[in-house]
Amino acid sequence: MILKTPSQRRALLERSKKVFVAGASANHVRPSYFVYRYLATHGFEVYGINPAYDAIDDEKCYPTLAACAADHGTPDIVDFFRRAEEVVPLVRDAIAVHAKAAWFQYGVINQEAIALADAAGLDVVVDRCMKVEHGRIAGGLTTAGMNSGVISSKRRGL
Amino acid sequence: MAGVVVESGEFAWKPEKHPLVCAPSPGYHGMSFADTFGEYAYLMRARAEVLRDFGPCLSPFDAFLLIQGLETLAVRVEREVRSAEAVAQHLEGHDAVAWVRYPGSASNPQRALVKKYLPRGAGAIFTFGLKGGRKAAVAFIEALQLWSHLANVGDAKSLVIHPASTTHAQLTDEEMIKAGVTPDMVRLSVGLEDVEDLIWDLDRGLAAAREAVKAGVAG
Repeated sequence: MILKTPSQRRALLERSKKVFVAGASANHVRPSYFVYRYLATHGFEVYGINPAYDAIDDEKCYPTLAACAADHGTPDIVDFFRRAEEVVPLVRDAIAVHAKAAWFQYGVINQEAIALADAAGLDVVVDRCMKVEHGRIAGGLTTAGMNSGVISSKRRGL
Repeated sequence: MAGVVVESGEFAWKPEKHPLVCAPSPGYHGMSFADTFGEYAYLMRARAEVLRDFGPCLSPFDAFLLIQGLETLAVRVEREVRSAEAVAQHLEGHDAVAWVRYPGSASNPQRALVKKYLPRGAGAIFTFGLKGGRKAAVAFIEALQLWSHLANVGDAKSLVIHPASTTHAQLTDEEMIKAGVTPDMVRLSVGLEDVEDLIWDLDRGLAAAREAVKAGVAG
């Protein structure tokens, strides 16, 4: 199912623990590094998938989703940090390892990939950033002065 | 000093038109704010580059005052707008007044646009003209006791100024007319005081203006 509302995304983040970041970078100034790092420091079990690296910082990086799944089992979310035109084979891999959700980062919009993931029964988030959406709920966006869209006087946390 | 940026996050940034938001930023290793932060692109650039360069640090006391003020801003503005409407209406009916230019007036020919774009009121700052021109305007302001003669606007207290002899005095007569600053024009910024007191004070000023014109004609 394609998740379009903030509450659906919130529920997805709350029920998810294990995230494979497809296209994670070892370069500290890339968004695909700092989203990976952010998720790891905010309670997620995160693994990087990128054939270009053996490790990101000191953590093992996997060449394929299948290789990662062989060590760590089924991911709750595969977070796609790849060019839109290159994402379809990765989505097939995600389906093959029985990922429960496919998360396409900002600008990673590929209708074929979206349709594939949706048809395979995955929860799908499109053109959103996992770090931003987590911050929306956890309060980081508010701290940074952004309008999180959440109207609540309660201190928040995931 | 402090300020607030309100931005919807729905603007369609285009690389060819908005390089500041879309183009790779050299200060951030070639990162594009538009590609990286989605709906928060503008605000992230404002924080990461503009505030970085100009200094982001509001003093703690200023921050306290700002937050304190923001908490009641909505009701203050609402009251000022309601009072401004009453003041404008009163002036429109006064025979010492030549014209009133309040966007929210029923007589405004652009009333339909005001309704569309400013559905909750047309603000608390506007101008009007006095019969008798400059002389009447100056006499009017000098006679006021409650309204403060100040060049700023949007204060909690009511402010009045005669632009032709103050804020725009450096212009030639011709330039003033071009700028819409006629010699008879007075600018009001309506504050939070009791609107009946405000109108009472204006009436005192209008009476003085009328006297000044009479004296001018006699002399």
